[in-house]
Amino acid sequence: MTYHVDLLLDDERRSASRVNVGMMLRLGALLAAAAIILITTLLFVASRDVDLKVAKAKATWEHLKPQYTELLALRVSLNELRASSRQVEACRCSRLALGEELTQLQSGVPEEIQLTVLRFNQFAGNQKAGAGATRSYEMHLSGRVSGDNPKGNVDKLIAYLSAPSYTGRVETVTVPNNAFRKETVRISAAGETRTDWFFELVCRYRPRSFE
Amino acid sequence: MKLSAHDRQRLQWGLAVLIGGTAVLYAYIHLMIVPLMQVRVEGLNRLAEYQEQIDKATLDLRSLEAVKAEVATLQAGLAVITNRFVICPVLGSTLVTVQSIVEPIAQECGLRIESCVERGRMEAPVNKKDAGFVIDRYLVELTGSGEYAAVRDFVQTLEQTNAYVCVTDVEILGRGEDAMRHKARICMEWPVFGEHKAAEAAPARARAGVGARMEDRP
Repeated sequence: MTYHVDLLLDDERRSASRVNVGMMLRLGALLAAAAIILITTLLFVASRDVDLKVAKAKATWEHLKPQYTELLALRVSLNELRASSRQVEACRCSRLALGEELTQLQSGVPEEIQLTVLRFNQFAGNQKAGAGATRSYEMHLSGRVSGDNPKGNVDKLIAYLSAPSYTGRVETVTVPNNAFRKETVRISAAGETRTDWFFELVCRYRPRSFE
Repeated sequence: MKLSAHDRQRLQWGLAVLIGGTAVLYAYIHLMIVPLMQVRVEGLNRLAEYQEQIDKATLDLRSLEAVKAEVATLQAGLAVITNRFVICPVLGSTLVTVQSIVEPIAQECGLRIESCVERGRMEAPVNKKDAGFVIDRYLVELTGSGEYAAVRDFVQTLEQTNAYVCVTDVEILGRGEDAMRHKARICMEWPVFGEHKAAEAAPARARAGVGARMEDRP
């Protein structure tokens, strides 16, 4: 019979393994310190790299800046010039060349028609500043018509004003109510009279845009 | 479980090291790592801003020559138009300028001018928000007498002489006593420099190189 006498106290017991808690803790602490140093170094390097890139970008921007400032100033000038030009061109674009209209009208009035009043009017169109601003014109004609077929002669004039040469400009040609009428006029002091046909005609032009 | 004095001491040491290590780590992260990361993030943001500006500028600068050319063309064109066609007052009167233009034309066309009066000014109804100067329409009414052909030629010549003058109204009335000579009334709009916004307009006009004729006058 063998006796085993254990004289070790509990706090005197040690593990036979080489991997113990103390060593694990020391190793962990070492690894943590190494990781912290590595992270810090990487961050330093990355920050320095960013700083270098920022400095390079700044230098590039400083190089471009004068040209870019010049471009911005030129754009402001361009806008100004365009706006000024738009104003000036509005005067040209919106006008109806009445000289041409007078020439064209003359060649289309039948011989039997004698005009007594010719009136081109610019009437109030939309003249508020903006994209929709327009000028509108109307032509009023009054006259005397002779010949065998007075109504036919007036119709000829209406047809002329509605012809393709006027299509782009003229919107409507109308004879107002009771504007085609017969009147007796005195032609001599002796009391001789003559019956004439009178007419009125309104020709409305298409509005002309200011822009 | 009851711990021995030695175990208790070890546990206390372990806890002290753990608390101390955590505190040091916390301080290190807050005092070193976080500022470093903030610096890096700020740097990256600045870099992105610079890069965005550089990209935009590089892209825009491709059009620099085209913009320069357009400005030069517009300046030259506008200078010609404003110097030739936008009328300026003579001796302080715009009407005198108009008269000096229309009278020779009327004489040449055989239109006898009876009166030439000013009918006010109107602004051009266009957006002039960015405009360097303002163009107004100077209204003039002219009455006279002549043949139909004289009125027609007068209006036509006037419109050909100045592409920016607008004849707004023409009235030709037959006269019983003289079938060939009619009464005529002609209304015109002449482009003139606006009186308002003049303070702002002057430098812009100088920049645009327009209106020199007016300034050059003695």
